[in-house]
Amino acid sequence: MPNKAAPPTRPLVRVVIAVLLIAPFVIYLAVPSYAKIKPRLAGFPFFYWWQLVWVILTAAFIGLAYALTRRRTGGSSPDRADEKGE
Amino acid sequence: MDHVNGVELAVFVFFLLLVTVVGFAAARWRRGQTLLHLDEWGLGGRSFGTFVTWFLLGGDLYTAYTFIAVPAAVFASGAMGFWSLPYAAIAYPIVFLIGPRLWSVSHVHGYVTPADFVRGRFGSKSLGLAVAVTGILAMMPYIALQLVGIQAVLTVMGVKGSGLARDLPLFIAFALLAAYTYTSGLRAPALIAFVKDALIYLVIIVAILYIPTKLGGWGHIFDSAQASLTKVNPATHKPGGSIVTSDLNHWAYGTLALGSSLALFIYPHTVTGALAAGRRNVIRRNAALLPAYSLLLGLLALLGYMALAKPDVAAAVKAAKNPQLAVPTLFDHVFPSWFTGVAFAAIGVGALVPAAIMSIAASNLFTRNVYKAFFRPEASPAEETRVSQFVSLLVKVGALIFVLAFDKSLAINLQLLGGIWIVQTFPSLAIGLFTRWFHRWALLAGWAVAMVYGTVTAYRQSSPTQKHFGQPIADIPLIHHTGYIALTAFVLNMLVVVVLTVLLRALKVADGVDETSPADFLADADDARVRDLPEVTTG
Repeated sequence: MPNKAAPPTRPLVRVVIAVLLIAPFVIYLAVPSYAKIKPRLAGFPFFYWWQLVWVILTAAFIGLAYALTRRRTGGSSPDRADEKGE
Repeated sequence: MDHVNGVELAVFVFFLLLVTVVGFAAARWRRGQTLLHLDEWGLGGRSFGTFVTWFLLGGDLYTAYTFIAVPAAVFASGAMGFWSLPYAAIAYPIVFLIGPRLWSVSHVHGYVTPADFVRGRFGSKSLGLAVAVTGILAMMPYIALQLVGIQAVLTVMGVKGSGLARDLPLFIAFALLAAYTYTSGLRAPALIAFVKDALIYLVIIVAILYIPTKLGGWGHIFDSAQASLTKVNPATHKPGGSIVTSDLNHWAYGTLALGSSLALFIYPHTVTGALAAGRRNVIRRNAALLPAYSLLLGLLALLGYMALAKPDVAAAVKAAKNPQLAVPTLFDHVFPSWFTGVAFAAIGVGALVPAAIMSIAASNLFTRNVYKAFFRPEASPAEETRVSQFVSLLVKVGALIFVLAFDKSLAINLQLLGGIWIVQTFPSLAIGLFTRWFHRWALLAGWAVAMVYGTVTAYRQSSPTQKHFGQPIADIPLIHHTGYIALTAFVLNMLVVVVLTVLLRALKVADGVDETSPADFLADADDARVRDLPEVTTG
């Protein structure tokens, strides 16, 4: 969902942010792709370790998306608060 | 389990008393000029940073009922019960998108509830009322279920019997909760959340490191669970489940995760927790940090398999015919008494935090979107706060009566319905944060159609143990797969909204006035337009 009122972020960065936020949906909703026991990892069937690993990756992706939104340029834009942080 | 376990009970009571002291002391923590303002009582002064918000939202979203019900689902049906994990992961990209915008617009306009925003955005008190009523209806059984969580640990500790003796501990815990919520407002659960999460993390980490060593390792746990789940049940002539999903339930698994992820951030108690944040970026950072709890939830779910893999635990739970006892019984059997007490305290305190936030959220909805909107438009902030405080008591008494007077399956059924209902506010609340294209009457009509469809469809589902509300999934028309009713109803909702918006715009039916401007959705705390000082009258 594009941020209508946001200042112009470089198109490439916007695409990257979109991919980062959509990827977890694609991974998790493709249920048959991970509904299997093998390969196991430390005794965990694939179904479990795959989904648990993706929780960490989802968090990392959101963190990356956050870092990218903060790198936006445009000092006096309405979104300037994003660069200032706390 | 015929006798009360003294050590367990003593540790449990100790922690409950500790959080009671913390709850009352919280009134003095980060104190504003006055507590008689909804921004103070109901939103903790709108001042929480990343750290406090992480604990508050974590304590809010991952409730005691979750800690009991998710492993219970895995215990009873295997992989199908694990859908909460993908749900708890994909909810956060949505939080990242809608959270900051909701925070900003609420900060600029002094909105306290999600319904405040909908009313202001679409210029419709009726649409605001619809969102508020949906929220209140969804909150009540959810609060009641927190009590079910406490009841489960009390049962395993041996606190049973009949009548007053059995219900008294629950009654005392809730009376104390009501008292400190009344005096301290949102600051109480925010501070107690630290205790809750410290306990929960400790217990889960110990459980996942220690229990597998006693049960022959993870590989063995999964294998025994699989053997136990695939055994054909003589009553239904079908296996209980499997440790991986099958062609029959891939759709159910995915739609439950997706439908629930839409609901996570628009539940009134989540909004309350999020609006208490002091800055816009606090929400974004938390979208990346909160999945730590989801990881915990996933590991916790696997305790259901540990209960299956330990024959004495599995037998005891099956004999009691209550899978919700799986985790408490497992702890009781493998941990020394004092640590079982700590684990039970974690679940007990885990019930109090969300119950407090939910009762605050429900009473704010009533005060702002029913009382003030329709009966007392001139109500002062102090009057609003007093009404909210009073209603928070009523809400808790209501939840208590709910659990004590009716069978607990009623609360469970209604919470299932609540989840279906709350998703139907997604178009006006979440999509409304991005576009004003929808017509207010189209949104109201879509909501009404979806509420009726969702309720009727859920009522019609039977299970081996229940004639109605047997499960949250049903056949999806046209696709002919089994899917989460909330998501089917949501698609129907959107169809009605889009078609009627086109129609009403073509007929030039008057649309409400939008009191927000595009820049409002991006404002931060140091923005000149932000009104966050208690002396500025809100609304």
